[in-house]
Amino acid sequence: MPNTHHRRRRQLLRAAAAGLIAGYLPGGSARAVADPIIKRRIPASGETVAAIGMGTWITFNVGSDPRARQQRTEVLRTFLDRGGQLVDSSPMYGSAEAVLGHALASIERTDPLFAASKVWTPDEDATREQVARSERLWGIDRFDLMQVHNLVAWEAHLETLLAMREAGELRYVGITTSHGRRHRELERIMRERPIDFVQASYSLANREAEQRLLPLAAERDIAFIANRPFQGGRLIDRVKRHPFPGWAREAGLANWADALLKFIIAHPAVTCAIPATSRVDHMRENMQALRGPLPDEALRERLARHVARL
Amino acid sequence: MDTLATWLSYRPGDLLMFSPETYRRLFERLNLELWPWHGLLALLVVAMLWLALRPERVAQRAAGILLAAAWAAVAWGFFDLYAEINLLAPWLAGVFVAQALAIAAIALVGPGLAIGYAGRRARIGLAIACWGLLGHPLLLLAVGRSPASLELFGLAPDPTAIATIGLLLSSQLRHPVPLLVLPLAWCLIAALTWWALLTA
Ligand SMILES: NC(=O)c1ccc[n+]([C@@H]2O[C@H](COP(=O)([O-])OP(=O)(O)OC[C@H]3O[C@@H](n4cnc5c(N)ncnc54)[C@H](OP(=O)(O)O)[C@@H]3O)[C@@H](O)[C@H]2O)c1
Repeated sequence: MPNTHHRRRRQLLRAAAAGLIAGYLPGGSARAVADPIIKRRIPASGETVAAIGMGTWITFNVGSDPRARQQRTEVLRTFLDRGGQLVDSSPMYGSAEAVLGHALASIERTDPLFAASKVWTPDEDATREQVARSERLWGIDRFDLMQVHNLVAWEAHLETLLAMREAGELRYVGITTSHGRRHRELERIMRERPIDFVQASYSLANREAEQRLLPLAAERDIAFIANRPFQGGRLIDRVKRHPFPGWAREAGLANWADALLKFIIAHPAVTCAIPATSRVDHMRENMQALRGPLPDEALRERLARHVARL
Repeated sequence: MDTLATWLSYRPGDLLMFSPETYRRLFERLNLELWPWHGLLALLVVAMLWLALRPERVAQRAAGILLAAAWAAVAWGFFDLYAEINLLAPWLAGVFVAQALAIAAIALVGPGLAIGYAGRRARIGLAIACWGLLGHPLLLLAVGRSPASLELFGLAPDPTAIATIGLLLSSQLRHPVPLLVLPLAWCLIAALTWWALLTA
């Protein structure tokens, strides 16, 4: 592919431009921390979104437990206070959407949330019903992003979601997978359907997406959400047993969470990484990745080599 | 084929949709709801054992009713909370409802629950019953569970299933096996859950 290099340059330039512009954008500016927030452009619209989002799988599924709900509210508050926008959930996550709704209702928000959930039902006729239910649970009028979860009954759901997008009932449409499953089918959908977002697993220890999905997302102007950035916790647990290397600190990275997340969002085709956490202190660590210098290609490779040896 | 490959790529920990901490909190919340009536629960358990040891049919029937009530209480209390965090819980609750009905039938129209310690089967059964009633909570305490989140017979599914297997083995039922199917099935589900929780 002779023009890969060219495309990569274009992507890098585009990403750099998005990062540059983000510093002057309203929204992040009124924050307690003065540093500009790292934002990424959503290709479909040109709108920008903070490059670190929040997942809710397991972490927000706490049911009606008042103590746990209160604690998760603090996690979400920390996320939003530090400039986070995109929150990702799904009807598959048990009570997570209800817990999110409870937390959102008890937080006074001035800055825009980017609400992303999914359709997850084998019933091809239940798309609208499930979106409406999620809106109710979150306590919002309209989702920014609605994704077909794990390609379940995707043809029918996608058709309805695209119609809803046309009608202004949601803003963006996407499709998700994880753990490297069904990438071929995903690629086909990315080529053939007018989707705005794709979500798949991508982390320093699982770089399969770099082969085809990320280049394709860039080529097709599709925003890319990286799920399982810590491999469900296994990756960060493993690296945290080792000291954070001095050379990484000198390069401007704050800690392991910061390094693992910045590794992801430094890829020019990535729009947003969505780590999940149940802890405020972990959320603080993760949100550091929204500020400061991003690693260049050499530093990314050094990080990958270093982590592979741990 | 693609679907099969996809399913085979899941590990038990991947299917677990709640954290070990959230699971443990279920029992803490149940105990909090029951408090301060734990004494009454203990009294009912002692009453069930005493009645099951009496020779009178009416006492044995009452013992059976108490055992059925324990299964119903778990279906009612525990599974109500569990359904909030596990999409499969309403189906799993069916195990407890079905077993409650089966034991209630034995109590009302069958022989009731009459236990003894004569014979090997009965003695093994009693040991298993003691494990469910006392050993299981004590083991959890020993591995670091707080007293506030203990799993108790009549409140939590695992000790209820374990104790029931023991009681049925030590009972004078001629064919206890059909009644053992659901408690054993639950033990299998519990083992898978624990495996997933411990490897999560
Ligand atoms: N098919 C799909 O659509 C799909 C599939 C998978 C995931 N997703 C989405 O992607 C999100 C992220 O993936 P994930 O939740 O599976 O995994 P993840 O974000 O890679 O890892 C989450 C785990 O990392 C731990 N963690 C987070 N921050 C940490 C820190 N600073 N230090 C130490 N540990 C930390 C958390 O534990 P603590 O709670 O202790 O912090 C949690 O156990 C999901 O929540 C979900 O929204 C979507």
